[in-house]
Formats: sequence, C-alpha cells, structure tokens
Amino acid sequence: MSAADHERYGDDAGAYLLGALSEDELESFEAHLSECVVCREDVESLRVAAEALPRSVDPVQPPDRLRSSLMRAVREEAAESEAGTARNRRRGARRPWSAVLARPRAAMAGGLAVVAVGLGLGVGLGRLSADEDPTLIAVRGDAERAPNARGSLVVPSRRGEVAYLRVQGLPRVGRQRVYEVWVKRGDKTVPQSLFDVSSEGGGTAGINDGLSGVDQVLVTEEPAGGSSSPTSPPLLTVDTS
Amino acid sequence: MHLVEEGSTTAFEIVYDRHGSAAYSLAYRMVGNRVVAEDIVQEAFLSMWRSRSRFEPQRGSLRSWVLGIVHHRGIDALRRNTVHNRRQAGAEAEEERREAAATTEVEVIRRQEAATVRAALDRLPPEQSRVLELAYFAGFTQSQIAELMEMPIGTVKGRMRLGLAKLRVSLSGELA
Repeated sequence: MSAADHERYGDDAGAYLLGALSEDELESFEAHLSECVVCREDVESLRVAAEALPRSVDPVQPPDRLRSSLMRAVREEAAESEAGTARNRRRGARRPWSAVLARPRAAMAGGLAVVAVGLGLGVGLGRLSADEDPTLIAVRGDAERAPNARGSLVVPSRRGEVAYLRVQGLPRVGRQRVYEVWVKRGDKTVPQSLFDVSSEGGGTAGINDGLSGVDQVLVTEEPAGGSSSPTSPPLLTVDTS
Repeated sequence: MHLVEEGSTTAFEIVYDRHGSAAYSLAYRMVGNRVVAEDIVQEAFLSMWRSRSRFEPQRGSLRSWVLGIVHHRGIDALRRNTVHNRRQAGAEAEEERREAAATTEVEVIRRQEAATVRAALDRLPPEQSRVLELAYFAGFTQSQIAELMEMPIGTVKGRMRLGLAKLRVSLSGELA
C-alpha cells in the first residue's frame, strides 16, 4: 500500500460504515482496507457509533404474516436442503442445472418471444457448470407491452435453488404501480417480491421460495404495494420446468 | 446461534422473535412503506438463514449482524428506486405507521435506548447529523449527498467521519 493510496481512501471510513460508498468506491476501499492497518483501526473505532444508529429507531411491530411467511420459506428451504443432500448421497453428484437448459423449451405462447439470455453477467452458456457458475434462463417478454425487455433468471449454483431475476428494458411504471414477481406451480401462483426499474429500465428481484416444483416465473404490473394474485397478464415469463 | 448454524429452524425462529422487530423497525424507518419493509426483512432473514455459518460472534453481536444485513438490503431497495417513488405518496407512510405498544419490558428498554441514541444525535451539529441521516437512513451515497447539499465531497466525508466520532464519544458507556 502506498501513501498515495492512504491519501486517497483515508477519509472514507465514515462513508464505508454508513453504507454511503458507491459499488466502485466500496470495492476500492475494501481492497485498501485489507492492506492498511490505520484505516482498519479507524473503521473499528467508529463502528460502535454506526451500529448505534439503528438503535435510534422506535420499535414498530412487524405484522404476524411476516413471521409465518418467513418461517414457511425457511422450513421449505431446510426440507429442500435435506432432500438434496439425500439425493446427492444416492446419486453421488448434484443435478446440474445445465441439464435444464439442454432440454428443448416448450413452444412459445402467442405474442411472446425469447428476448435475451443474460450475458450481462459475463457467463457464457457454454461454460455453465453446476459447481461454479450460475445458470441463466432466458426471459420472454410480451412483444407488445415490453418489446425492449431482456433479461435472465439467475440461479446461483452455490445457493441451491434460490434465484433472482435481472431485467433490462422494461418500461417505468406509474407512481401508484409496481412490478411483482410470481412463481407458478401447476395452477397455483405465489407472490415473491416487488420491484421498480431504473430510468434505463433495469431491475433485480428475488425469488424467495426457491424453484422447486416451479413451472414458470412471471412478472406482472400491479398496484403499489403489490397484489396477492396477479391482476394483469404477465409482461415477462421464464419457463423453468 | 450454533443450533441455527446446524440447521435448526426452531432456533432460527427464536432469532427472528428476538430481532425481527428491530429489523422491521429499521427497514420501515428507511423505506417508509410497510410492504417494502416486509420484503426487506424477509429477504434479509432468508439471506441470514442461507449464510448462517458466516456469523462470527467475535466480530460483533448477533443483533448488529442482523441489523447490518437489513441495512444493506434497505440501501439496495432505496438505490433501486423501489421506494423513493413511493415515498412521494407522502401521507401513506404516516398512515401506515403502527408503533408497537410499549407493553413489554424489552420494548420499554428499546424505546429508552432509541431515546438515548436520538439525544446523542441531537447533540451533534446539524450539518453532521444531516449527513448521517441522509447516508444511513435514506441510502444516499456520499457523492449524491455532496450534490444534494451543494458542497464538496471532501466536506461530506469529513462530516460523516466527525459525526460518527462525536457520536461514539457521546454514547460511550450509555449503551449495553
């Protein structure tokens, strides 16, 4: 580490602890931190103050449904994990998600077209592996309502069946509207998360339930706050089965 | 916590019962919207469940770990503009606000603790408390704050650092 490095990053300890560094600044500062004892000590001395900030908030009672929804998801993941471990013991290896990609996709529904595979992450389909790279599954956008939409469902291989959706080119929704992500198992559609998109139409949303038994991941436009079941046809569709 | 690390969902439920309210309160304070706050807390706790082996007690309390993850998720939500637009709905946040009745001993302690930290924040020069507020609770980066407050970024960095240093001194010995 040079003196110039310290000169450059030495004042960032406060912003680092407050979460006020941009992604690039964070990466640079953490690299600097790994080499600079002075900054590490500075961060540690200020940490107690930063950690006191959330304590300034008066308690607000979370709704009971949050607890039940969270614990249902946790138990499902735990059961999946146990089942996966048992499967691996039997098979001696984990089922590669690349096998999913290798299967021919179902015929496209009317009005929908494959728009892109998420190469934005720099992962080519040719080098997908169950142990190292995430699996990317193409998003189909509604040709009329989201003609420029592209993106992918990302299934990080090290996180079991947890997934997230990355999209680009979606139109902004109005102030009282939001995008909602759903998973479809048979005829049951379960809400996952809400998201809005940037001015460039980019957004990310989590699939909290995992992908076990999921036939499709859908994105619809809903009233602000989300809906318990879709109120409009899907703008985006991902076939996972 | 070692039971959670071993995959006990019951132990994890206890962790949620102990820290879920603080987590939700922080998320709600940041985004001002009940539904988004629920999403943040759910995602944060699921992330904790998946990365439960990464908790290192020697680096801090479980509560700090929980709140740190919730804070990161809150910042992600704010920077994705998930909630900035919704905040403009204005009154909604206040209408939705449902403060917990201070009926339990834990809640009374939490409220006293909150009052202590707020008093310490109030003792800071306003320009320092403002940058702490904009950074920590509103999710703005230092560059955005510099732009918002029309000041050099070096001044923002200095105020953040100085504000935290004064807060540490002010709270010394006051929090458990």
